Amino acid sequence: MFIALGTYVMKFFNEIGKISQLTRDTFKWMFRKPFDVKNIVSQMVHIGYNSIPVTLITSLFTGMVFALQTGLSLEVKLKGTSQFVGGVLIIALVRELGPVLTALIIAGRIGSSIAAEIGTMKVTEQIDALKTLATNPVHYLSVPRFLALTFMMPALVLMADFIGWIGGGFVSLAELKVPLLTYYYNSQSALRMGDVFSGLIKSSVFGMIIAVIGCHKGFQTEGGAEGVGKSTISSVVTSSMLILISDYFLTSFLNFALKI
Amino acid sequence: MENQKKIKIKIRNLWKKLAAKTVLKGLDLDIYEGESVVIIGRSGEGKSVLLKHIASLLRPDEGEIHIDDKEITSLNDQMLTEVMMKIGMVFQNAALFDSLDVDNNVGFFMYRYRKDLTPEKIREIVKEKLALVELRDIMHLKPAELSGGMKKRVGLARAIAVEPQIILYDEPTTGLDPITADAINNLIINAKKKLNVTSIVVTHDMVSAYKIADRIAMLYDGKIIFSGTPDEIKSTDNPFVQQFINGRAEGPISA
Ligand SMILES: Nc1ncnc2c1ncn2[C@@H]1O[C@H](COP(=O)(O)OP(=O)(O)O)[C@@H](O)[C@H]1O
Ligand SMILES: [Mg+2]
Repeated sequence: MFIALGTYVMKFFNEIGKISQLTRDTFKWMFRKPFDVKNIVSQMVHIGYNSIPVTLITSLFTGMVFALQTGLSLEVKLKGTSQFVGGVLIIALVRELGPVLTALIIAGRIGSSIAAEIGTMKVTEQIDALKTLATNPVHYLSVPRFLALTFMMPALVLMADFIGWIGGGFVSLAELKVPLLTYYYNSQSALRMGDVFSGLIKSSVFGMIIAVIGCHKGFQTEGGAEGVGKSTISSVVTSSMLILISDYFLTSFLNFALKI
Repeated sequence: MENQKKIKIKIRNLWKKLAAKTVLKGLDLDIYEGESVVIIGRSGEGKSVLLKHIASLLRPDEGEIHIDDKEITSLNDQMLTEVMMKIGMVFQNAALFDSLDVDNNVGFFMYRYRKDLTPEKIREIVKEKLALVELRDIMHLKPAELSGGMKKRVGLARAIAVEPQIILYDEPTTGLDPITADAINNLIINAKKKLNVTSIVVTHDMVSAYKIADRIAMLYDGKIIFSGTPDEIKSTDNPFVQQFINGRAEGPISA
């Protein structure tokens, strides 16, 4: 029993060690030549551009249902308060729902595909082939994915926030009879720059988590197609957990740092 | 005769444990400059593991590997790159980069590091290398669109594109039909003649071994148990070697 627990704990710390090593290596290689601009751009397209539809649909409906639920419960508590739905929604979206939901979607969509791609390269010896061609796999594979996710996540989240907010506005109008202008002014007066900053910084960090975990699970893959499947799943599980856990600590840190 | 030649690769007392299994158990091997050595042995015996040590893809638990009199197992990453540039490796399943077309696979190193060459010049060199392995008009195909034999050729072209002094082949003919396999054998012989390289070929295909080898070495139980010319190996009375080269289930090696 204790031995089993011991090996489990050992594995856990071993894993953390490897993840931090990979993060360090990624930063180290980020500034080394050659800068693979073509590769970075193609990763940005793959990660960012291609994820726009799914991100937008998620946030649109999240905004809509959030407006509906909040508006209705406000109205039940105190008649007429549903006009404040814009302010509540935009704060929730910009600070929490936008970054976290987008990150979870991207972890499922992109984190898994990174783990699968690199995992396949590992089991088919393509990683070894890279090394024999004098190319560090972290340099060639992790760095572009890391950069792409770090910069594309905030962009996606901004879009998600905006669409969610629009969706909420129309639901408020249709279901709660809140005029669009009221919704707009209420949102505007509630939102502060710090909220936006906090959301975007979180998004970037979530992007880094997805990239590092996806690459890590890919590089650790052993044992053929079955191994690739395992890495893919475990990349989604691990990065989702880390996103939710780090969200709490990031939020409390950013609240303190940005004084909001 | 061999003694007059320069030793290109010297392996001494190489030990490697992978997972729970000790794969290499104090292996010694010398490979001379310009020589083609074929390493034979059963599946799972550690042939790929040995090649990966020579290519510096694995580090031994113990022992030394000298390439051109330089001990490589203790080098740091930067110094290692220099040594690795002397070596081209052809992987068992080609290990072509799935996401890149043939042009970018073969020219991978040049496109990435040879900023002194224009892309047009590199493309020309890639064409040349592909012609060496008797391929043309496939520059823009992705690996998924190639047959097994073509992949091996492209893998060879990618390895020779870095102009190595040593080429390591991991089971170059396994899984190919006999005619394609023989074509690959000829390419290996040609590569040696035209490029003057030292070759190490891992295989359990004896037809291929007799055709390519200046010398055949047999890996068994983590060591090289025999090494000699094809004629010497055919006439040896070592029962392990005899059992293997004649492909018998009965003998000192349990099936
Ligand atoms: N990365 C690894 N981790 C654990 N065991 C390995 C690894 N690579 C090879 N092995 C084991 O080492 C032994 C030799 O493998 P290998 O060199 O691939 O054999 P072969 O002679 O067929 O090329 C096998 O038992 C294999 O399972
Ligand atoms: Mg093998």
